Amino acid sequence: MMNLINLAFNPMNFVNNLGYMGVGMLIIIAVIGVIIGATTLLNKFTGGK
Amino acid sequence: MTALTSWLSTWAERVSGMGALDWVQTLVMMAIGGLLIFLAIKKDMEPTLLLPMGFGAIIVNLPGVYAPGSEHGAFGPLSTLFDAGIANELFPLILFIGIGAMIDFGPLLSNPKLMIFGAAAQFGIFFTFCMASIFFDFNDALSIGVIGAADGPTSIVVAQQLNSKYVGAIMVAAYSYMALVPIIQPPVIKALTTKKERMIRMPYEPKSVSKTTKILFPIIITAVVGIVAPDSVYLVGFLMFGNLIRECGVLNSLSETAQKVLANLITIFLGITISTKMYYADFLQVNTLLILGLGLVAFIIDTAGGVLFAKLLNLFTKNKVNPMIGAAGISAFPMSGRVVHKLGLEADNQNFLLMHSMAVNVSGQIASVIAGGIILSFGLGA
Repeated sequence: MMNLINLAFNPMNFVNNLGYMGVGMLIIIAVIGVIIGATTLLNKFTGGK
Repeated sequence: MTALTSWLSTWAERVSGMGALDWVQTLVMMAIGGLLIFLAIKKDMEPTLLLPMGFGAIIVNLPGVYAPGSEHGAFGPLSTLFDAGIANELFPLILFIGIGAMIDFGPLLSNPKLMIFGAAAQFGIFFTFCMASIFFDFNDALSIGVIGAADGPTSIVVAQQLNSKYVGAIMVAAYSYMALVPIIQPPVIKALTTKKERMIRMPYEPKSVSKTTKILFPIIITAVVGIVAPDSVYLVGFLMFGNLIRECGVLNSLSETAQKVLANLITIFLGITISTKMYYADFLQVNTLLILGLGLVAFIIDTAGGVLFAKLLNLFTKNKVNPMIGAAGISAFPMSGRVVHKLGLEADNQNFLLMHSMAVNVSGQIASVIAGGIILSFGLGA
Protein backbone atom coordinates (compact mmCIF):
# COMPACT_ATOMS: atom_id res chain seq x y z
CA MET A 1 0.00 0.00 0.00
CA MET A 2 1.15 3.54 -0.65
CA ASN A 3 2.40 4.96 2.57
CA LEU A 4 0.43 8.20 2.75
CA ILE A 5 0.00 8.73 6.44
CA ASN A 6 3.36 7.85 7.94
CA LEU A 7 4.83 11.28 7.30
CA ALA A 8 5.86 13.60 10.11
CA PHE A 9 5.71 17.39 9.83
CA ASN A 10 7.75 19.34 12.36
CA PRO A 11 8.73 22.72 10.86
CA MET A 12 10.52 23.77 14.04
CA ASN A 13 13.07 21.02 13.47
CA PHE A 14 14.48 23.14 10.64
CA VAL A 15 15.24 25.97 13.03
CA ASN A 16 16.41 23.63 15.80
CA ASN A 17 18.94 21.98 13.49
CA LEU A 18 20.43 25.17 12.04
CA GLY A 19 23.17 24.86 14.67
CA TYR A 20 24.34 21.62 13.02
CA MET A 21 24.46 23.46 9.71
CA GLY A 22 26.68 26.18 11.16
CA VAL A 23 28.97 23.81 13.01
CA GLY A 24 29.21 21.46 10.03
CA MET A 25 30.19 24.20 7.58
CA LEU A 26 32.60 25.68 10.09
CA ILE A 27 34.39 22.34 10.55
CA ILE A 28 34.62 21.73 6.78
CA ILE A 29 36.03 25.19 6.13
CA ALA A 30 38.50 24.81 9.03
CA VAL A 31 39.67 21.38 7.86
CA ILE A 32 40.02 22.52 4.25
CA GLY A 33 41.88 25.60 5.56
CA VAL A 34 44.35 23.35 7.38
CA ILE A 35 44.79 21.23 4.23
CA ILE A 36 45.36 24.36 2.09
CA GLY A 37 47.97 25.55 4.59
CA ALA A 38 49.70 22.16 4.71
CA THR A 39 49.73 21.89 0.90
CA THR A 40 51.09 25.41 0.50
CA LEU A 41 53.88 24.60 2.97
CA LEU A 42 54.59 21.32 1.18
CA ASN A 43 54.86 23.12 -2.14
CA LYS A 44 57.17 25.68 -0.57
CA PHE A 45 59.50 23.21 1.11
CA THR A 46 59.66 20.62 -1.63
CA GLY A 47 60.49 23.28 -4.19
CA GLY A 48 57.99 22.15 -6.81
CA LYS A 49 60.44 19.82 -8.52
CA MET B 1 2.39 -33.66 -13.82
CA THR B 2 3.42 -33.60 -10.16
CA ALA B 3 6.31 -31.29 -11.01
CA LEU B 4 3.97 -28.93 -12.85
CA THR B 5 1.55 -28.87 -9.91
CA SER B 6 4.41 -28.26 -7.49
CA TRP B 7 5.73 -25.37 -9.60
CA LEU B 8 2.25 -23.90 -9.97
CA SER B 9 1.50 -24.09 -6.25
CA THR B 10 4.85 -22.51 -5.31
CA TRP B 11 4.32 -19.66 -7.77
CA ALA B 12 0.67 -19.20 -6.76
CA GLU B 13 1.67 -19.13 -3.09
CA ARG B 14 4.14 -16.33 -3.74
CA VAL B 15 1.81 -14.13 -5.76
CA SER B 16 -1.41 -14.97 -3.93
CA GLY B 17 -1.00 -12.04 -1.53
CA MET B 18 -0.77 -9.51 -4.37
CA GLY B 19 -3.80 -7.29 -4.85
CA ALA B 20 -4.60 -5.11 -7.86
CA LEU B 21 -2.55 -2.20 -6.45
CA ASP B 22 0.46 -4.49 -5.96
CA TRP B 23 0.30 -5.49 -9.61
CA VAL B 24 0.11 -1.84 -10.68
CA GLN B 25 3.04 -0.96 -8.44
CA THR B 26 5.00 -3.89 -9.83
CA LEU B 27 4.42 -2.56 -13.34
CA VAL B 28 5.44 0.94 -12.23
CA MET B 29 8.73 -0.42 -10.90
CA MET B 30 9.31 -2.35 -14.13
CA ALA B 31 8.75 0.93 -15.99
CA ILE B 32 11.21 2.71 -13.69
CA GLY B 33 13.72 -0.09 -14.34
CA GLY B 34 13.14 0.34 -18.06
CA LEU B 35 13.54 4.11 -17.76
CA LEU B 36 16.90 3.72 -15.98
CA ILE B 37 18.10 1.38 -18.74
CA PHE B 38 16.86 3.86 -21.38
CA LEU B 39 18.66 6.78 -19.69
CA ALA B 40 21.83 4.69 -19.42
CA ILE B 41 21.88 3.51 -23.03
CA LYS B 42 20.19 6.30 -24.99
CA LYS B 43 21.21 9.33 -22.93
CA ASP B 44 24.55 7.94 -21.70
CA MET B 45 23.72 8.98 -18.11
CA GLU B 46 25.96 7.15 -15.63
CA PRO B 47 25.43 3.93 -17.64
CA THR B 48 27.78 1.93 -15.41
CA LEU B 49 25.33 2.33 -12.54
CA LEU B 50 21.95 3.12 -14.02
CA LEU B 51 21.95 0.11 -16.32
CA PRO B 52 22.64 -2.52 -13.61
CA MET B 53 20.23 -0.73 -11.27
CA GLY B 54 17.49 -0.70 -13.91
CA PHE B 55 17.98 -4.34 -14.80
CA GLY B 56 18.09 -5.30 -11.13
CA ALA B 57 14.87 -3.34 -10.48
CA ILE B 58 13.15 -5.45 -13.11
CA ILE B 59 14.48 -8.69 -11.59
CA VAL B 60 13.46 -7.97 -7.99
CA ASN B 61 9.97 -6.84 -9.00
CA LEU B 62 9.09 -9.83 -11.15
CA PRO B 63 6.02 -11.44 -9.56
CA GLY B 64 7.03 -14.39 -7.43
CA VAL B 65 10.72 -13.47 -7.12
CA TYR B 66 10.35 -11.93 -3.65
CA ALA B 67 10.72 -14.82 -1.21
CA PRO B 68 11.02 -13.47 2.32
CA GLY B 69 11.22 -16.93 3.91
CA SER B 70 14.19 -18.06 1.84
CA GLU B 71 17.32 -19.04 3.75
CA HIS B 72 19.43 -17.03 1.24
CA GLY B 73 17.45 -13.83 1.73
CA ALA B 74 14.38 -12.40 0.04
CA PHE B 75 16.20 -11.91 -3.27
CA GLY B 76 18.50 -14.95 -3.25
CA PRO B 77 22.00 -14.18 -4.54
CA LEU B 78 21.24 -10.45 -4.74
CA SER B 79 20.50 -10.43 -1.01
CA THR B 80 23.71 -12.38 -0.43
CA LEU B 81 25.64 -9.77 -2.42
CA PHE B 82 23.93 -6.98 -0.46
CA ASP B 83 24.91 -8.54 2.86
CA ALA B 84 28.43 -9.23 1.63
CA GLY B 85 29.17 -5.86 0.12
CA ILE B 86 26.74 -3.09 0.96
CA ALA B 87 25.37 -3.89 4.42
CA ASN B 88 28.95 -3.87 5.69
CA GLU B 89 29.92 -0.92 3.39
CA LEU B 90 32.68 -2.95 1.75
CA PHE B 91 31.74 -2.29 -1.91
CA PRO B 92 31.59 1.52 -1.69
CA LEU B 93 34.81 1.64 0.30
CA ILE B 94 36.66 -0.61 -2.16
CA LEU B 95 35.26 1.48 -5.01
CA PHE B 96 36.89 4.49 -3.34
CA ILE B 97 40.32 2.88 -3.86
CA GLY B 98 39.59 2.84 -7.58
CA ILE B 99 38.27 6.41 -7.58
CA GLY B 100 41.31 7.60 -5.62
CA ALA B 101 43.60 5.93 -8.16
CA MET B 102 41.77 7.73 -10.99
CA ILE B 103 42.06 11.24 -9.54
CA ASP B 104 44.92 13.50 -10.49
CA PHE B 105 45.28 16.09 -7.72
CA GLY B 106 48.05 17.86 -9.69
CA PRO B 107 46.06 20.93 -10.84
CA LEU B 108 44.63 21.33 -7.33
CA LEU B 109 48.03 20.98 -5.67
CA SER B 110 49.45 23.64 -7.97
CA ASN B 111 46.74 26.05 -6.79
CA PRO B 112 45.58 24.78 -3.36
CA LYS B 113 43.46 27.88 -2.65
CA LEU B 114 40.83 26.46 -5.04
CA MET B 115 40.04 23.85 -2.38
CA ILE B 116 37.92 26.39 -0.53
CA PHE B 117 35.26 26.13 -3.27
CA GLY B 118 34.93 22.43 -2.57
CA ALA B 119 34.11 23.30 1.03
CA ALA B 120 31.55 25.97 0.10
CA ALA B 121 29.68 23.65 -2.23
CA GLN B 122 28.86 21.26 0.62
CA PHE B 123 26.31 23.75 1.98
CA GLY B 124 23.49 21.84 0.29
CA ILE B 125 24.16 18.81 2.49
CA PHE B 126 23.48 20.70 5.70
CA PHE B 127 20.63 22.76 4.30
CA THR B 128 18.92 19.61 3.02
CA PHE B 129 19.47 17.90 6.35
CA CYS B 130 17.58 20.78 8.04
CA MET B 131 14.81 20.51 5.45
CA ALA B 132 14.61 16.72 5.79
CA SER B 133 14.43 16.96 9.57
CA ILE B 134 10.97 18.52 9.14
CA PHE B 135 9.68 15.18 7.81
CA PHE B 136 12.12 12.51 8.98
CA ASP B 137 13.84 11.50 12.19
CA PHE B 138 17.35 12.77 12.94
CA ASN B 139 19.49 9.99 11.44
CA ASP B 140 17.29 9.58 8.37
CA ALA B 141 17.45 13.35 7.79
CA LEU B 142 21.26 13.27 8.06
CA SER B 143 21.41 10.38 5.58
CA ILE B 144 19.13 12.24 3.16
CA GLY B 145 21.27 15.37 3.48
CA VAL B 146 24.32 13.40 2.32
CA ILE B 147 22.70 12.95 -1.10
CA GLY B 148 24.13 16.46 -1.53
CA ALA B 149 27.63 15.00 -1.29
CA ALA B 150 26.99 14.05 -4.94
CA ASP B 151 29.04 11.00 -4.20
CA GLY B 152 27.40 7.57 -4.28
CA PRO B 153 29.84 5.63 -2.06
CA THR B 154 29.70 8.31 0.67
CA SER B 155 25.89 8.28 0.58
CA ILE B 156 25.80 4.50 0.94
CA VAL B 157 28.32 4.37 3.79
CA VAL B 158 26.61 7.15 5.77
CA ALA B 159 23.07 5.79 5.25
CA GLN B 160 24.17 2.28 6.21
CA GLN B 161 26.14 3.35 9.29
CA LEU B 162 23.30 5.56 10.48
CA ASN B 163 20.93 2.64 9.95
CA SER B 164 18.61 4.68 7.74
CA LYS B 165 15.31 3.11 6.72
CA TYR B 166 15.63 4.77 3.31
CA VAL B 167 18.94 3.41 2.03
CA GLY B 168 17.38 2.37 -1.29
CA ALA B 169 15.80 5.72 -2.09
CA ILE B 170 18.95 7.56 -0.99
CA MET B 171 21.17 5.44 -3.26
CA VAL B 172 18.85 5.85 -6.22
CA ALA B 173 18.61 9.63 -5.67
CA ALA B 174 22.38 10.02 -5.25
CA TYR B 175 23.28 8.15 -8.41
CA SER B 176 20.41 9.48 -10.52
CA TYR B 177 21.14 13.12 -9.73
CA MET B 178 24.85 12.60 -10.34
CA ALA B 179 23.86 11.42 -13.79
CA LEU B 180 21.60 14.46 -14.17
CA VAL B 181 24.25 17.05 -13.22
CA PRO B 182 24.47 18.33 -16.84
CA ILE B 183 20.74 19.08 -16.67
CA ILE B 184 20.45 20.32 -13.07
CA GLN B 185 23.45 22.64 -12.81
CA PRO B 186 23.33 24.93 -15.90
CA PRO B 187 20.00 26.66 -15.11
CA VAL B 188 21.06 27.26 -11.48
CA ILE B 189 24.43 28.65 -12.56
CA LYS B 190 22.87 30.87 -15.22
CA ALA B 191 20.24 32.16 -12.81
CA LEU B 192 22.93 33.27 -10.34
CA THR B 193 25.48 34.76 -12.75
CA THR B 194 25.48 37.41 -15.44
CA LYS B 195 26.94 36.72 -18.87
CA LYS B 196 29.75 39.11 -18.02
CA GLU B 197 30.62 37.03 -14.98
CA ARG B 198 30.49 33.81 -16.99
CA MET B 199 32.94 35.37 -19.43
CA ILE B 200 35.59 36.02 -16.79
CA ARG B 201 38.76 34.33 -17.99
CA MET B 202 41.09 32.56 -15.62
CA PRO B 203 44.51 32.05 -17.18
CA TYR B 204 45.96 28.68 -16.23
CA GLU B 205 49.46 29.09 -14.91
CA PRO B 206 50.44 25.70 -13.58
CA LYS B 207 53.18 25.60 -11.00
CA SER B 208 55.22 22.45 -10.90
CA VAL B 209 54.28 20.12 -8.07
CA SER B 210 56.96 17.89 -6.61
CA LYS B 211 56.56 14.13 -6.37
CA THR B 212 57.08 14.45 -2.60
CA THR B 213 54.04 16.72 -2.37
CA LYS B 214 51.94 14.31 -4.44
CA ILE B 215 52.95 11.43 -2.16
CA LEU B 216 52.56 13.29 1.13
CA PHE B 217 49.23 14.91 0.17
CA PRO B 218 47.05 11.76 0.52
CA ILE B 219 48.79 10.84 3.77
CA ILE B 220 48.28 14.32 5.26
CA ILE B 221 44.62 14.46 4.18
CA THR B 222 43.95 11.08 5.78
CA ALA B 223 45.65 12.12 9.00
CA VAL B 224 43.91 15.51 9.25
CA VAL B 225 40.43 14.19 8.40
CA GLY B 226 40.93 11.09 10.56
CA ILE B 227 41.74 13.26 13.58
CA VAL B 228 38.83 15.67 13.04
CA ALA B 229 36.21 13.08 12.06
CA PRO B 230 37.46 9.62 13.09
CA ASP B 231 34.26 7.97 11.87
CA SER B 232 35.14 8.93 8.31
CA VAL B 233 38.75 7.75 8.39
CA TYR B 234 37.97 4.68 6.27
CA LEU B 235 36.07 6.75 3.71
CA VAL B 236 38.89 9.22 3.20
CA GLY B 237 41.55 6.61 3.91
CA PHE B 238 40.47 4.27 1.10
CA LEU B 239 40.15 7.19 -1.32
CA MET B 240 43.61 8.45 -0.45
CA PHE B 241 45.11 4.95 -0.41
CA GLY B 242 44.03 4.63 -4.03
CA ASN B 243 45.65 7.98 -4.79
CA LEU B 244 48.85 7.00 -3.00
CA ILE B 245 49.07 3.84 -5.13
CA ARG B 246 48.78 6.09 -8.18
CA GLU B 247 51.34 8.67 -7.12
CA CYS B 248 54.00 6.56 -5.41
CA GLY B 249 55.46 5.58 -8.77
CA VAL B 250 56.36 2.00 -7.80
CA LEU B 251 52.91 0.39 -7.97
CA ASN B 252 51.88 1.16 -11.52
CA SER B 253 50.28 -2.22 -12.15
CA LEU B 254 48.29 -1.98 -8.89
CA SER B 255 47.24 1.55 -9.80
CA GLU B 256 46.06 0.40 -13.21
CA THR B 257 44.19 -2.54 -11.67
CA ALA B 258 42.51 -0.27 -9.10
CA GLN B 259 41.47 2.24 -11.78
CA LYS B 260 40.09 -0.28 -14.23
CA VAL B 261 39.52 -3.88 -13.10
CA LEU B 262 38.76 -3.25 -9.44
CA ALA B 263 36.54 -0.20 -10.03
CA ASN B 264 34.65 -1.91 -12.86
CA LEU B 265 34.14 -5.14 -10.93
CA ILE B 266 32.78 -3.37 -7.87
CA THR B 267 30.61 -1.10 -10.01
CA ILE B 268 28.95 -4.14 -11.65
CA PHE B 269 28.11 -5.66 -8.28
CA LEU B 270 27.19 -2.33 -6.67
CA GLY B 271 24.62 -1.34 -9.29
CA ILE B 272 22.75 -4.60 -9.42
CA THR B 273 22.91 -5.07 -5.64
CA ILE B 274 21.40 -1.64 -4.96
CA SER B 275 18.32 -2.86 -6.81
CA THR B 276 17.39 -5.08 -3.85
CA LYS B 277 16.28 -1.81 -2.27
CA MET B 278 14.01 -1.09 -5.23
CA TYR B 279 11.31 -3.62 -4.39
CA TYR B 280 7.97 -1.93 -5.02
CA ALA B 281 6.59 -2.36 -1.49
CA ASP B 282 9.62 -0.57 -0.01
CA PHE B 283 10.28 1.88 -2.81
CA LEU B 284 6.90 3.19 -3.95
CA GLN B 285 6.10 5.32 -0.94
CA VAL B 286 5.41 9.01 -0.52
CA ASN B 287 8.60 9.14 1.57
CA THR B 288 10.61 8.00 -1.45
CA LEU B 289 9.20 10.79 -3.60
CA LEU B 290 9.98 13.26 -0.85
CA ILE B 291 13.56 11.96 -0.62
CA LEU B 292 13.96 12.31 -4.39
CA GLY B 293 12.69 15.91 -4.09
CA LEU B 294 15.04 16.68 -1.21
CA GLY B 295 17.93 15.18 -3.18
CA LEU B 296 17.22 17.62 -5.98
CA VAL B 297 17.16 20.47 -3.44
CA ALA B 298 20.56 19.30 -2.17
CA PHE B 299 22.13 19.44 -5.63
CA ILE B 300 20.62 22.86 -6.37
CA ILE B 301 21.70 24.39 -3.06
CA ASP B 302 25.19 22.86 -3.39
CA THR B 303 25.54 24.48 -6.79
CA ALA B 304 24.16 27.80 -5.56
CA GLY B 305 26.41 27.68 -2.47
CA GLY B 306 29.52 27.25 -4.60
CA VAL B 307 28.61 29.99 -7.09
CA LEU B 308 27.54 32.51 -4.44
CA PHE B 309 30.68 31.88 -2.39
CA ALA B 310 32.80 32.59 -5.46
CA LYS B 311 30.86 35.82 -6.05
CA LEU B 312 31.35 36.80 -2.42
CA LEU B 313 35.07 36.15 -2.71
CA ASN B 314 35.23 38.35 -5.82
CA LEU B 315 34.02 41.30 -3.75
CA PHE B 316 37.23 41.18 -1.71
CA THR B 317 39.88 40.00 -4.16
CA LYS B 318 41.79 41.71 -6.94
CA ASN B 319 42.11 38.71 -9.23
CA LYS B 320 38.50 37.80 -9.95
CA VAL B 321 37.55 34.16 -10.36
CA ASN B 322 34.84 33.00 -12.71
CA PRO B 323 32.02 32.34 -10.21
CA MET B 324 30.92 29.31 -12.19
CA ILE B 325 33.90 27.30 -10.93
CA GLY B 326 32.30 27.33 -7.47
CA ALA B 327 29.58 25.05 -8.86
CA ALA B 328 32.17 22.39 -9.68
CA GLY B 329 32.77 21.94 -5.95
CA ILE B 330 29.81 19.60 -5.61
CA SER B 331 31.98 16.56 -6.30
CA ALA B 332 30.09 14.56 -8.99
CA PHE B 333 33.49 14.00 -10.58
CA PRO B 334 34.11 14.66 -13.49
CA MET B 335 30.68 15.71 -14.81
CA SER B 336 30.46 18.91 -12.80
CA GLY B 337 33.89 20.11 -13.92
CA ARG B 338 32.92 19.50 -17.54
CA VAL B 339 29.60 21.33 -17.16
CA VAL B 340 31.37 24.47 -15.92
CA HIS B 341 33.96 24.26 -18.69
CA LYS B 342 31.19 23.95 -21.28
CA LEU B 343 29.29 26.93 -19.87
CA GLY B 344 32.49 28.98 -19.97
CA LEU B 345 32.92 28.19 -23.66
CA GLU B 346 29.26 28.97 -24.27
CA ALA B 347 29.72 32.48 -22.86
CA ASP B 348 33.03 33.06 -24.63
CA ASN B 349 34.49 30.54 -27.03
CA GLN B 350 38.01 31.36 -25.88
CA ASN B 351 37.26 30.92 -22.18
CA PHE B 352 38.93 27.67 -21.13
CA LEU B 353 38.06 26.85 -17.53
CA LEU B 354 38.65 23.10 -17.62
CA MET B 355 41.79 22.92 -15.46
CA HIS B 356 40.31 25.22 -12.80
CA SER B 357 36.93 23.51 -12.79
CA MET B 358 38.53 20.05 -12.56
CA ALA B 359 40.73 21.21 -9.70
CA VAL B 360 37.66 22.48 -7.85
CA ASN B 361 35.82 19.29 -8.78
CA VAL B 362 38.44 17.03 -7.12
CA SER B 363 38.49 19.32 -4.09
CA GLY B 364 34.73 18.73 -3.93
CA GLN B 365 35.47 15.01 -3.79
CA ILE B 366 37.68 15.55 -0.74
CA ALA B 367 35.25 17.99 0.90
CA SER B 368 32.26 15.68 0.35
CA VAL B 369 34.05 12.88 2.16
CA ILE B 370 34.87 15.24 5.02
CA ALA B 371 31.23 16.35 5.10
CA GLY B 372 30.18 12.69 5.17
CA GLY B 373 32.44 12.16 8.16
CA ILE B 374 31.00 15.17 9.98
CA ILE B 375 27.45 13.97 9.28
CA LEU B 376 28.41 10.53 10.59
CA SER B 377 29.82 12.01 13.78
CA PHE B 378 26.59 14.02 14.26
CA GLY B 379 24.50 10.88 13.80
CA LEU B 380 26.60 8.44 15.81
CA GLY B 381 27.12 10.98 18.58
CA ALA B 382 23.42 11.83 18.93
